[in-house]
Amino acid sequence: MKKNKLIPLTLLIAAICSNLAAQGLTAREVIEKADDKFYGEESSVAEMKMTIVRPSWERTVEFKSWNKGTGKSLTLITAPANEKGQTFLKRGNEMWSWNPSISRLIKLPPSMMSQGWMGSDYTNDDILQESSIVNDYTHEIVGEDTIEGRSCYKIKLVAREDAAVIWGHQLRWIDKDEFLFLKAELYDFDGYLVRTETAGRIQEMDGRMIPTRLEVIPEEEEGHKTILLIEDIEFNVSIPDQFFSQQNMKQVRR
Amino acid sequence: MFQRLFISVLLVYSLSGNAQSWVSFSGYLNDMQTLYHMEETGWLWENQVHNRLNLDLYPAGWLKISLQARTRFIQGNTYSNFPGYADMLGRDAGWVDMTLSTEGTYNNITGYVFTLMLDRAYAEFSFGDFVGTVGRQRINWGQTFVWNPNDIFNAYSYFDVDYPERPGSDAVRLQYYTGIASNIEVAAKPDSAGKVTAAGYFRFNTFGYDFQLIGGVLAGEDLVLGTGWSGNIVNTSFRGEASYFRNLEHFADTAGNLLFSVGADHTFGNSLWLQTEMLYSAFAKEMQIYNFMQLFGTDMNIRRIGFTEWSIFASLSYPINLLLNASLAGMYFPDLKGYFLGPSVDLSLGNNLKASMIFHGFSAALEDLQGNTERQNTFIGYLRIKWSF
Repeated sequence: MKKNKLIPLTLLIAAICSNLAAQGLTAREVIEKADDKFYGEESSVAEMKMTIVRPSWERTVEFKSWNKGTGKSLTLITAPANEKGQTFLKRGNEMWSWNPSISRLIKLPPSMMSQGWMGSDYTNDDILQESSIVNDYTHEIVGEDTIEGRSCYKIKLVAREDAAVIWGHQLRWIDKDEFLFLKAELYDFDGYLVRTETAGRIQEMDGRMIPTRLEVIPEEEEGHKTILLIEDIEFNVSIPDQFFSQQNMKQVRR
Repeated sequence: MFQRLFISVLLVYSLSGNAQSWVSFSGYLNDMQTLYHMEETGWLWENQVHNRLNLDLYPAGWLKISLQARTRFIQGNTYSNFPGYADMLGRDAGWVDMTLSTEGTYNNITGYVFTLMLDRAYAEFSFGDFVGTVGRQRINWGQTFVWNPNDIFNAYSYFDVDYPERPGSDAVRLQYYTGIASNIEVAAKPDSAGKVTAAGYFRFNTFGYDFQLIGGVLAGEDLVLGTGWSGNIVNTSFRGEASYFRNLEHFADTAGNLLFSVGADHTFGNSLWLQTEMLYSAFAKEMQIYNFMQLFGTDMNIRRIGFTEWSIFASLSYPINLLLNASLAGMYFPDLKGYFLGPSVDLSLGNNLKASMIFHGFSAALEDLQGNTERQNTFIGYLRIKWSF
């Protein structure tokens, strides 16, 4: 029995789905407004494609994910071929995987759930989202900028002294019209740029404008990045609680 | 005529292109080169071309039909050196024989075996919380990873590296889901000899643990009572399975046999995965192992999952990077002063292409048919390239 490298990915998806909600504006107010914009979404259904790019190769995983509240998610892997059909169910602190080719349901331990996705440029903090960009940082508008033809606020976030966060400070560019986060630079406590995140391909999906292409570019490693494409997303879809069940893990389809 | 055919083909394609298509097709093609070394035979080789085709049809929302075929073409000098090898490869252990097999030799040393087997052929009916499945299917009640005393329908050998799906059972199964993580099942299957295995199963979740209870009859001969669980102690998962078997015909004058496995696994912060498991088998007391090749085989039986009273397993698995995973598995069999060592490497060559190198080494003090005990060493090396579609 091999360890399944897709497990942390499913947690990442859940985090990203709720993170789409967290695209911010002016200083604290702007950040809060953006954070509030989608905050409290009841549920979402999304189809995504994640590509890990390295200087000499790239690998892609595609999936569909159903999320409800903060505690329930079901993820179906749709590509690559040898992992297609695997599902992951998360309810509160418990998580299971289903592998249709071996007809096996496995209860996953917490140690597997707290893993960063090996190989991608996302970190454990992205997955666990233990820190809050609203409460753990102070905020200041430091300028204005234009990104992808859209006028943006440029906001500096500095970590509060008592906050348990991994970034010393952050620069975030937030679109003035739609309050979308379009770019971020994340710095460590010594002031060095660690990674850059960009958001693009702004499209209307389910009646709202959202960036559908997210990129994470680590500073130190030449030619490395992770690209996340949102192919489709719907918000506030009515999903019954029973949808997030072991029965449905075995039956859910795209 | 052609136009009509063209339109119907087009229609199938357009329907299968839809988000909720009514047909799904998948599988893989692999080539595996195997090298064996045993003291009595010396070096032996074998090449296997292996194809799997899975076809799933969804003619209605409540109905799924699955047909899965496994085709293998095996060539090598193993053919002439393992007595009954071709028979073993071409045997269908199911109630219905769904295997085609042919064999031959190129010369006195090298031969081939071609087998085509339908190892899944079932219809699944879903009505609300009820799911009924009829036909050749996999009923997997395992909780642990190496030895599964609860897996009474499709016992398998850990050492069979090229068959993750495992054989199916020709069974009727009815499942009723009583909650999001609980269900009740009944299942029954006749085997190729017409002996019936039938059991009831109850699964539930409490205090963060999955528990299961099993009761039934194994191959018309033994009463089976079993239990299994999966949960965790702090950050380490803790799983186990136990089954008790007792002959029905000699119920009063025989004691039963117990099989149990207990295991733990943990993933460290650097993605290193550590797994341990041990098995106790009362059946093993009466088993005799002459040769490690006895540990493989398609007609694996739950009574033979362990071949020594105690077996101990440990493994480490580590993703060196996203493309390369290395692992090392080991077993210890105290009764035989024997051990197994299994290092392996998996390399991703593309989104759908993977290469694996697997090594199995066995060493134990085995008794031969004349009653002489001698240390035997067996080495098997596998090199496989697998394309999934």
